[in-house]
Parts: sequence; C-alpha cells; structure tokens
Amino acid sequence: MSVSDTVSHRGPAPLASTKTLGGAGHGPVCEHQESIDGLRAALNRTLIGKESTVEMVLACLLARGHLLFDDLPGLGKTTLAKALAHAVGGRFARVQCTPDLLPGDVTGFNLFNQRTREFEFREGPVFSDVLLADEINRATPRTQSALFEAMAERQVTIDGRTYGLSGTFFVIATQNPVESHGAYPLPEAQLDRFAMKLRIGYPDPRSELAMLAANVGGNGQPAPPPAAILDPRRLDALQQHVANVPVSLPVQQYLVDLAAATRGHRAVTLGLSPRGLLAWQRVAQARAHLQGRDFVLPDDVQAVAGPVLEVRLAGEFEAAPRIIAEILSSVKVPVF
Amino acid sequence: MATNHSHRLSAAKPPAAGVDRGLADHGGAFALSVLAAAMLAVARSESSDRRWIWFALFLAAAVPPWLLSQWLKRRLAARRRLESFAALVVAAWGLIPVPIALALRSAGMGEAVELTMISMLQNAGLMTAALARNRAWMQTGQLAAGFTATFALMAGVSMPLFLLGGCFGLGFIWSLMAGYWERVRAPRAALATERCLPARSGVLIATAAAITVVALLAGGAGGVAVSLRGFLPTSGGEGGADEFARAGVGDGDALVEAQDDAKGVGPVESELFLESDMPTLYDMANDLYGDPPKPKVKSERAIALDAAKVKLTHDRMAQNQDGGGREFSAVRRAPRQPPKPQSDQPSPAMLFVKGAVPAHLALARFDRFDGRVWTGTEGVTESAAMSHSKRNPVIRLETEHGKPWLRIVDSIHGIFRGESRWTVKVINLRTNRVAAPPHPVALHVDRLDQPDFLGWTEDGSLALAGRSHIPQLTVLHLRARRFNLQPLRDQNFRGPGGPSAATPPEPNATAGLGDFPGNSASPSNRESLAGRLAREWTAGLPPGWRQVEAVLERLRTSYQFDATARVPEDTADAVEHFLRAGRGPDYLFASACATMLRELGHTTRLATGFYARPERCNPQSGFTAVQADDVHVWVEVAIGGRHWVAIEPTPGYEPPGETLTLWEWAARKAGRIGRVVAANAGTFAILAALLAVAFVARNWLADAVVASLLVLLATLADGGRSRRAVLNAMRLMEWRARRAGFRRPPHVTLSVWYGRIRPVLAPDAGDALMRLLAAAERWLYAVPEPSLGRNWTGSQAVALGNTEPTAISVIHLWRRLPGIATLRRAFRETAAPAANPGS
Repeated sequence: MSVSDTVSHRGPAPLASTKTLGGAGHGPVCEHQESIDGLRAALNRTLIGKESTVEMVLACLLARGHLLFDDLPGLGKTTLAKALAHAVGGRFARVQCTPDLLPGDVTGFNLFNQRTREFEFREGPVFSDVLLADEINRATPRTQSALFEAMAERQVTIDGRTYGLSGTFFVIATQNPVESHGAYPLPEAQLDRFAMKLRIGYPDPRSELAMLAANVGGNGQPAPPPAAILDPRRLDALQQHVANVPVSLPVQQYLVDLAAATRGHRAVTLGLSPRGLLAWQRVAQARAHLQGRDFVLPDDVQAVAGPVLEVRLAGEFEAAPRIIAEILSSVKVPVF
Repeated sequence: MATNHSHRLSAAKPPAAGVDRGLADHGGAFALSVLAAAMLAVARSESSDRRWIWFALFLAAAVPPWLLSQWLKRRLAARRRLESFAALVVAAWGLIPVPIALALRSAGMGEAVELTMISMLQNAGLMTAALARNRAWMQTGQLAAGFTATFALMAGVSMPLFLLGGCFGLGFIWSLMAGYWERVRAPRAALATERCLPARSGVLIATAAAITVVALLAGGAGGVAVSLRGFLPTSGGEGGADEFARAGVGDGDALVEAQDDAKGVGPVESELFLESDMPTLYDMANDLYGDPPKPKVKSERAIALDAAKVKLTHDRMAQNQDGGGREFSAVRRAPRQPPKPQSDQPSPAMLFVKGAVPAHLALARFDRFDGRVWTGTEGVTESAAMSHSKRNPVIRLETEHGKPWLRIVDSIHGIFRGESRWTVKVINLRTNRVAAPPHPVALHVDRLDQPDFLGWTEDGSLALAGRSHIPQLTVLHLRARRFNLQPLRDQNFRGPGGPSAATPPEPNATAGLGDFPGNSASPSNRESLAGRLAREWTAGLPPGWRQVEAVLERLRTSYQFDATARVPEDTADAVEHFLRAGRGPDYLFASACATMLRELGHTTRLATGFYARPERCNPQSGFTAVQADDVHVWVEVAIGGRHWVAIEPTPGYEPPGETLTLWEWAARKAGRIGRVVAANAGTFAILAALLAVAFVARNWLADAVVASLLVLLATLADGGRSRRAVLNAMRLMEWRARRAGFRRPPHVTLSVWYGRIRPVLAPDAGDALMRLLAAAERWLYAVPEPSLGRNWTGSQAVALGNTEPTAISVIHLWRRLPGIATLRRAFRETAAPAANPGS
C-alpha cells in the first residue's frame, strides 16, 4: 500500500467532522465549528465532488497561508476562489495578470491631486481580504515580486511609505501549466511564499451529471455567490485559534525528519526550507482542527504533505507525487 | 576556565570536517581491524583441531560491526542517536568474548585467559572502527588492531599468519602515512591547536594508580612483582593450575603435547621417572578390584615325577613370574582402601590415547577358567622374526612416507572396513605390551625399524619383544581395522566343524578352533546354571552371532553393575553366584558372558586392559587420558577361526564402536527410536496429540500468552486506565497484525492501517478498535496538559470515549478487540478491493 493510497484513503473529512474514528470524539467541540461547517458546505456547493480540495483550501485559509492553483483552464479555480472570498466576508479583489501589468496596478500608486496639490494614495487590489491573482505566471517578474512582498509580510511599500494590509489577507493565485508561451514561471524562492499548491482536476462523472442538472434552466449568468459566513475579525480569531493547536514533540520530530528526507532525496534539487517547514506545521494544525481534533497526528502531516511539498520542492512537475510518496515512505511514523 | 573554554571551542569547531573524513576513512580502519582479527583467528586455530570454531568466532566478531556500520551509513538520524551511547556499544561488544570463553570452557574447548582478553580487545577495536566518526575513534580502532595483530604474530607460527601480518603491516603503514599527510594538508591544522596532554596523562596516571592498588591488594607487598606479571593463570608450578593455560610447568597434559616425537617436550619433574612408581596392569587391577584370596597351602602326599616333567613345570613357573599378571581371579576381597588420588603425581594418566573413544585397549587375555580364576599363558613373547607359530600372524616392515611401520600380515575377514589411526602415549604403565584397540594391523614408533622388535605374547597380545617395559613417553602410532558386525549376524561364523545348536556343546570343546589357545568351558559336566540360562535366553535363535547378541542384551539389561559386589571367597563357581545375585563388577559380567557363550559353543576369552572413557577426552588435543581406575575386563569371541571380536557385557560401558555406513547408522538410530516409542506408545501419543493441538492453535496460544502478559502489565499500571494500558493494547494489536501477516509498514500511521479494516469488522470489534485507536493517538500525540500531569483524568475521559463513564478500563475494551484470524480476514478483504469491486 503506497503512501498516496493511504493518504487518499482517508480522503475528505466527513461533513460532520466532530466524529472521526468510529464515532469516538477526539476533542471538545470548538466554538468555531459552526463557521467551519458553514464554510465547508458553501464551498462544496460551489465545487461539486471536490471535497478533498475544499478541505485543503480551508486548511490553507486557517493556516494563514496563500494558495496556488495549478491546473488547466475551466476546472473551477476562479469560481472556487470567488466563492471563498465571499464566504469569508470582507473585501474581494481580482487581478488578471498579463505581461503589461505593472506593480502599481497591484499594490496601488500615488496620484497627484491637482486640486489639493498633493499626492494621494490610491489603494490597489492588494488592499482586500481575499485577492485572486489569475494566471499569475503571465505577470512580469517585477509585478510578481511586488505581490510577493504583500504575501509574505502583509504590507506594501510605495514611494518609501509602508502600508499595512488586512490581517486576514489571503491570496489565491492560479497558473496554467500548459500554456508556457509568454509566461514567466514563478521562481522557487517566490513559490515558497505559498503555503500549498493544489490541483483541482476533472470532476468525476457523477459530479459532472449533477453539475449539468443544476445548470439546466440557468440564465447563463454565474451562480450567485454564497452569503458571507465569516467576517475578517472572526476569521482572524479562528486563525489564531488554529495556530494554538498543540503539536507534540514526536510529531514535530517527525516533521523535522521529513524535512531532512526532502533535502536528502536525490530527485529533489532544492529541499524544504525552514519557512516551508513552518508552513507545513501550520497546515497540519489547521487540518487537525478541521478534523475536530485538538492535537496534531502524523496523519495530518501526511495528509497535507502533497500540496505543501509540491509548491516548494524543485524538480520535475510530473514526478512530484511519486517523489513525495517516496519521501513519506522513507521516514518512520513515530509510534510507541 | 577561560583557557579550557577556548580549547573546547577550537576543538568543537571542525566537527563537520571530522565527520566527513571519518565517514570516508573509517572503511580503512575497519579493514585493518578485520585483518588483525583474521590474524588472531589463524593464531588461535593453530593449536586446535577444530579450526572452524575459530573461523566462526572470527566471523561472529567481525560481521555484526560491519553490518552495523553499513546500516548506519544510510541512516543519519540513527547514527546521531547511537553516538550518545557508542562507548557503551563498544564496551558491550568487547565483553562478548567472556561468555563465549566460559561456554567453550564448559564444553572442554577453552583457551588461555590472555587469548580471551586479546579477543576482547579485538572486538572492542572492531566496533570502534565500525562506529568511527572522527579521527580519535579511528585511531583508537587502529591502535587496538595493531595490538591485536602484534599479539597474534607473537602467538602463532604459521605461514598464512605471516602473510596476513605482512598485509596488515603494509596497510597500517599506509594509513599512518595517509593520516600524516592529511594533517599536513588540512588547513585546520594551523587554525586550531588542542592541548590534550593533561587529559591523557590524567587517564594514564589514574590507570597506573588503579593497577598498583589492585596489585597491592591482590598480591600483598611481597607479591607485587608476581601480581604485576598479569594475573594470568598458568598450567601449574605456582600453586594454581589452569588446564587451558599456554604456559607453566609441571603439568602432565603439557608434558604429552609432543605428538610425533616423545622428546619434543622435555622432562620437567624428576619423580615422573622414578621406576618404582610405574604400576603394572596387575597392580592396578588389584588396587581396583581387591586382592584375590590366597589359597591355603595344602600339603598332600605326592609322588615325584620324572625329571623332564619337573623341568617343564619350572619353566612354566618362571615364565609366569616374568610377566605382569599371570592369572586373573574372579574371586576377590574388597579393596582394603580405595585407591587414593595421587596428588603429587603431575598427571594421573597411565596412557594417553588418541582415536575414537570409547575404546577397549586390551593388554592381556585369559582363556582358562576354573570357576574362580582365569589363567592364561603369560610371559612368553615371541618376536616376529622368531615366531614359527601358526596362530600368530607374521609381522613385517613397511615404509610409508619415509617412516617405518611394522605391519601385521593377517587374513581379511568380511567384517573389516578400512583402517583407523590411533596414537598411544605411554606415560606411567610398566608393561612391554602394546595397549592396542581391537584388530591392530600396524605399529609405528619413531626410529623403530626392526620387525623383530614387535612380537606376540603367548595369549595373543602385541608386545615389544625383549623388553621388560615400553619406555615412558614413548609414542606408539597404531592402525587398527574398522569393523562392522553385520556380516556375522547373517552367517554361522563358528568355522567348519563347529558345534551346531542341535548338538549340546561338550565341555572343553575346542574342536574346529584351529590353533587357538585352550578354550576351557564349564568346570563340570553337569548342567550348570550358566548353560541353562544361556540356552533359555537364546531359545529359538539360530546358532551364531545372534546368540551372542541375545546373551549380551540380557546381561546388559537384566543385571546390575555393582563395582563393590564380591562373591564369597569359598564359592566354587563365581559365575553361578553372580548369575543368582544379579549384580557384580565388570569382571564377573565378563566371566559370566564368556562362560555362557562357551556353553553355547562359542570360543571366548577374557580380555583385560583399559577402557578409554570419552569424558576424559580433551577435545582440544584429541587425547584421552587413561587412568588407573579405567582398568576393565571384557570378553572376546573368536570368529572365522583367526579373529577375535571384542564384546562388552557390562552395562554402563559402550560396546566397541562399529563402523557404520550412513544408512546403517540411520537405520540403527531409527530402530532404537522406534523401540523407545513403541515402549512408551501411550505417552508419545498424548505428546503428539498435544503438539498437534498446539500447532493448530499456535496463534491462539501465542495470543493468549502475549495478551495476558500485556494485561498483567496494564493491570499493574493503574488498573488498566493509564497510558501504559492503552499503549499495551495497541501493541497487542500491532502484534496480532504481524501474526496475521499484515504488519503495519513503519511509514504508515496507526489510524490509516487499522482504520481501513473498520468497515469489514463486526460492529462491536470495529467500535472497540476505533476507540482504542482514538485513545492511543491521544496518549501518543496529544501534548499533556501540565496542570493535570501524567494521569490526566479529563483527557483520559475523552481518550477513552465520551459515551462511557470515565472509569472505563482498557481491559474491558480488549475483550472485544479483533483476534488474529479476524484481522487476517479483514486485511485480506480490504487489501484487494480492486480484485472484486462488487464485494
């Protein structure tokens, strides 16, 4: 049984995630559980048949990470991002990245006001709570790096002045792996800013049928976005709550061993950075919390390993799942 | 303090470089250690017959460290963990030779203490080299290897050892040179200096002080010089003796080490050569069995004989007194006192024998028996050159590999199968007879190249002609025929004209026996008890060897060996008394056997000599010590007119060993086992049934044992509610999965592995398993709440499930956990869902 099998076997968490293993509750019910369930339900309504992807998106959000969708066009990347943005409440902004997009178009710029004879600052799309950067690999490296300062430090500096961003600032970037002409692939150092990279993939036939059935009688307009379930303040509290999920020493040691394994794997040219390791722990904490647990299991670490590692391990695009499976199977799970 | 600190810093600086170099070079250091170990193995095996033991020990010492080093190469984490107790591992591996040496000693294959100590050093060096990560470790390993190799070179003398030593020297010099150049070239040589003298000199001073204290305590002020020599036991000469010591004086075992040349080891104690101390077989028999009662001198009227006859009688008398024992009495008094151990004797051995033991070494034969006393023709030794007697075969000189062998030219019989080699060293026995195993065919004594030196005594024993005794420390090399008695069982071997079973044997029946010495049978004409019993025991058997075996079997099973039993002095027929009493010493067994076989028409004689006991065999040298209390009496039966076959009637003594083919050996063993099984059929049936049940229920039994053990442990720990209880239950599940053939791969988590079988388990078992998993995960991975400490009650309630009260015990949960068979079925069902997606 390969690791990828075992990971996928656990599959998506059941909707009622307070009960995991045989109904034995793993922890006290969290006060935010209702919000989480609502978010989960809203996203699952938007993206039918992709519960595992939704679970990862939620984990990334709760871990204060940024998300990179790397998939073919038309699979629902933008739809999911918009739905998420609306569900968490707050402001939503979208940037369609093209080669002529300038950094100021993203971060904002100082405009000289003829009337007041002063420069005044015009906020760019980064001054939002959820930013969707579509086809990010089509922006020039200069624009990309402007965005990455915002992602890493949640602030932008324009003309020597630093502006703080929203505390729950969350970037969902998409990129298309097949159209490489006129694209600027994201460098490894910048990819590291993302907490995870997800692929949505094609829905299964049953979900496609349901999707078609739901579309009959539609007016051609996109479905209305879900109602806001959270607001930035509550999201911030939820993220803080998740950051407090304890991680025991054996699990942390397991993470360290896994990180060492990524650095020692011969097919990986650039192993996991300490920043990546921190992100991995945060996402695992979020996943544990999503599962209704108040402590992190090695299962959580394994379950999020794919998306977390795929964004930062430099190597062949196609071989990533196999390499990650090899890394996971080379490290012993701490038991007894 | 500041200086120390700076030294530490400078020493701690280059660990990365040290690690790299250690990893790169430690193969070389390990190779040197292995070479040194191989040299030691060669040196140790030089003086041993069983070289494979030393080779196996060498492999056992060298392979595990090598495997460990290979294993650690790929596992940096394990390597880091091991580093903290690497010294302990080295020490443990260094101590391994001690139990091995003790075990070998108890098996009689021990070796000198210093060899054990050097193997400890060898082991420590091997492990040090295997675990070497930096220069210091590597150099320590090399140092140990160098010391081991030096010792091996001093201890051994063989060519392979010197070749290995040469290789080692080259390797050692090369590694020293390489180490020197590395130091010169390494930039850190100039950057960091380390003052290590205080530490090392401190260790040296402490060691020297400890040695001095121990020496003073052990040896006292006057014995310091002795103690400082090393506390190594010697083989004697200093009040103590270790039989495996390599040095020392005064030990009989060491004295007879010269296998080819008696003078290879010189005389060490003068009293050994006092002639008066050398007993004869006659003396030893009297010591062991007691003196024969002296018949009262009766003077009766007599008529003088003519001169010729008088002379003949005197001749005979003179001859009898010439030899050691002229007669052997079956009627004896109890020994006045048991033979006292000869404490001042360097070795109690009379002879040393090398060959297949147990062995019957005959010295004298007796063929006439009057019911009380066996007599034989004694004292006349015919040399081969002079022998014109037809009954003794001719002896001629042959040269083999440049050495003279005196070969007995004898007829071949169907029972013979090849030859075996024997070596007999005469230590303390005064006789000119050769203590020979059955069917000797050739004798070699160094520089003895005259065939007339070897001859036959009147009773058909080999002896050195013209000598009163064989000189001490003479080494006799013998060849004897191997034999197998199977042909005798299938034929009437008693020769042409021998009496048949139908004809009652006549007294003094010697017809058809050719030139064999007189074969006096029962002393009277009337039907004796021996004759009656003999015919009774052999009723229905064809005449021949089967009769002999029947009588032997009966004597060996129905009669008791009792070394102290004596027949009354006034008895006329010792055999009859013995047969009625049912117990007696070996000479009465032999007398009875000989008499009974004669009653059946066989030709027999009494053989006296030594029984070489296997328990006195020194496996290292292959020699068996034959001592005074090994004097033994047995019977020889004539077959085919010219040959005598030794048989053993006394229980407790092994019959002379037959040479068997593999098939015969297996058949004989199988027959013996079959008889034992048949005799205890009921017991074996019950045993077999129990074994069958145990085999069928092996999983259940093993499970029961493991589960009860874990339950016991869990119960001891807080009534089955603590961390240990939960984890023990989890361990039980892991063990069961392993037994079921579905061991959890180490990289798969508990809940993934066991969670997948949940759907196919019965609800109860599945529920128990999931609850156990939840509890185990919490105990394993949840961070304890500091305020609640180790026994947290709140979390425990959560861990064990919210649906039941806090006091739920894992022991109750265990009863519902799936067993091995259930697990196997569940794993099989979930392992191949693709094969039958419908199910």
